[in-house]
Amino acid sequence: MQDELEIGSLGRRLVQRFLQRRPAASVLEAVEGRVVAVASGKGGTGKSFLVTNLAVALHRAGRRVCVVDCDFGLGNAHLLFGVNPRLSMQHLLGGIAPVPEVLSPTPHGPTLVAGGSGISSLAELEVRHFELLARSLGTIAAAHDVVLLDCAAGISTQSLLTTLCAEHLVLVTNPEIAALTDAYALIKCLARQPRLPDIHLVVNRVLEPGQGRPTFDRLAEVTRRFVGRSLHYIGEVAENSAVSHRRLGQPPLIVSHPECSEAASIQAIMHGLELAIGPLVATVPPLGQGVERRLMRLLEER
Amino acid sequence: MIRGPIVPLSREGLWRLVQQRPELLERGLRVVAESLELGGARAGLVDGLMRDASGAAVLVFATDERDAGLPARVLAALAFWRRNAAAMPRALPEGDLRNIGSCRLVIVGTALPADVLATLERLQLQELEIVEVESFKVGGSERLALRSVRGRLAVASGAPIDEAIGAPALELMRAFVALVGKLDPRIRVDGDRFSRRASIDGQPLGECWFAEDRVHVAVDGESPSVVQGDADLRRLGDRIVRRYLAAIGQPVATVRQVTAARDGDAADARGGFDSLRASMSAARLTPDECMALGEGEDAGDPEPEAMAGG
Repeated sequence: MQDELEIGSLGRRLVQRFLQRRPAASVLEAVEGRVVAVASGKGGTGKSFLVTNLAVALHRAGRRVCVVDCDFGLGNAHLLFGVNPRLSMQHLLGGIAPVPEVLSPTPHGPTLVAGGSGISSLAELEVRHFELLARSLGTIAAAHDVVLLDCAAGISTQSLLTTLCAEHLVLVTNPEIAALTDAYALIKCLARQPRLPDIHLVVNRVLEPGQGRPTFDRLAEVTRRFVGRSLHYIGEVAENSAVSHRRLGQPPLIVSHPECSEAASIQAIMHGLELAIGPLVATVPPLGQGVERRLMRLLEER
Repeated sequence: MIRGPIVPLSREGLWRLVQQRPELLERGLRVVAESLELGGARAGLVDGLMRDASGAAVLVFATDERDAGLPARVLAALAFWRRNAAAMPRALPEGDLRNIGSCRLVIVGTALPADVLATLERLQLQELEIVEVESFKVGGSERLALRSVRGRLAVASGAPIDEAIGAPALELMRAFVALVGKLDPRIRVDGDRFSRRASIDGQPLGECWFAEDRVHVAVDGESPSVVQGDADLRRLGDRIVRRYLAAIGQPVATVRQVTAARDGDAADARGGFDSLRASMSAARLTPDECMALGEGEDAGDPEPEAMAGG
């Protein structure tokens, strides 16, 4: 009887998979990279700094990494990578360029989809644009081990949508109260959605070693108390004048100052993330849990 | 209840019927002249000359069971018309006759004798069309039943549309037929050479006919209008669909309802955002939350944003 049940379940899974209307090749090769959103409640917390350095660290660890700048209006991840891509997300969503053409190589390994400019808000896009975005993210994820979504700062429909379509969320905050309250507001906002990704906290720009943990404890306690959700702490990065005063076009810190403590912190965060969510390598996602399906479901549930 | 007997229509009575209601025979028929004597004496007596929708002449013979000379009248009139067809438009300018090469002969009668019918059949006149009329009563009121014995008049449903009306009009009428045909396979379309009538389960939907060089349409319950192009056809389609929905008992949306529904769809398209926006507005921190976050914190001024941040 148990065998029959398992066979029936397998049959249903197969049927459901075929009903997803993906091309046959996609069904057979449904391996997908881990999609991690990096967000912050407040601008200037060091989110893009963390994304670029984490991406390089992962690349150096042998992972195929892609950074997608999801700040479609004011993307600047390409500046931190020191590249100036000709094509961006704007061209992708406009149907002007396919995914392979907007994937820009960077000097430090990861590929980048630049945010571009001109799309002030995802809310202004039509459903077909979202479907295109979902398919594009699916395509990108299928070709990488890790996809880091550099979400727009603040609480907006744009940042929330891109955050919710990820499998995991790395929330970047600072010890200061303004950053904490904004981070908490973002958590509170996301917690009202039906499927909240797991939230992992990075405290950036700590003034002294160890300051990240009490900052996390305070935010986690308030979140548990008022929202009923738990957070995971994955590390801190110290304030560094080399970061604060670096010029545009300079390589990421982990490249320019590989021996500094902040670079070590980035490595620790990478390991902490892998400890929390498992190896950052392409895997077969649970049925219906691919990034394309997640974003499509967000659209369907509207 | 005692009711009066059904009186068979006399020859004069039949002609009056045709004169008053020519559409019973065919859409677009118009009386041009009465009591014509074609071919001399009474041999070529024709009760009426009519013009059909394409402008062709139609000679109408009313007859009854005592009219033994009908075949002779028909032959004499036809012979006259064939001889003088080219001159008739000028001789009868009020008729606005066109397409004079063809002239149809329509016999309208009640219970035509079998020998007369046999004689007419032997003549093998392609132009000849015969309609029999019988009256009957419903609740005391007299009604008429017309049946086509020979020919393609209105009572003979399914006659092809006459190509003499011209390609544009032909196209419009065919579009009407195609339009109603797409709605429901149960819709029945019949008509004569110049008209098509659509109905479903006995309920009329609309009618389309050619008359006065134009295609007219009438959706049941509405005033007739002229169809001249695609825009008119689209409007007609909308009216037909509404009538169809009403006929099958489905609710018919008004423009306002449709607009509201469309706006609703647009709102649905943004629905995910609306949900997110609702979350955003609910994300405002309460005083308790602010206090809990600020415990033990020397808030001070926020640090300046680093260039690398964001």
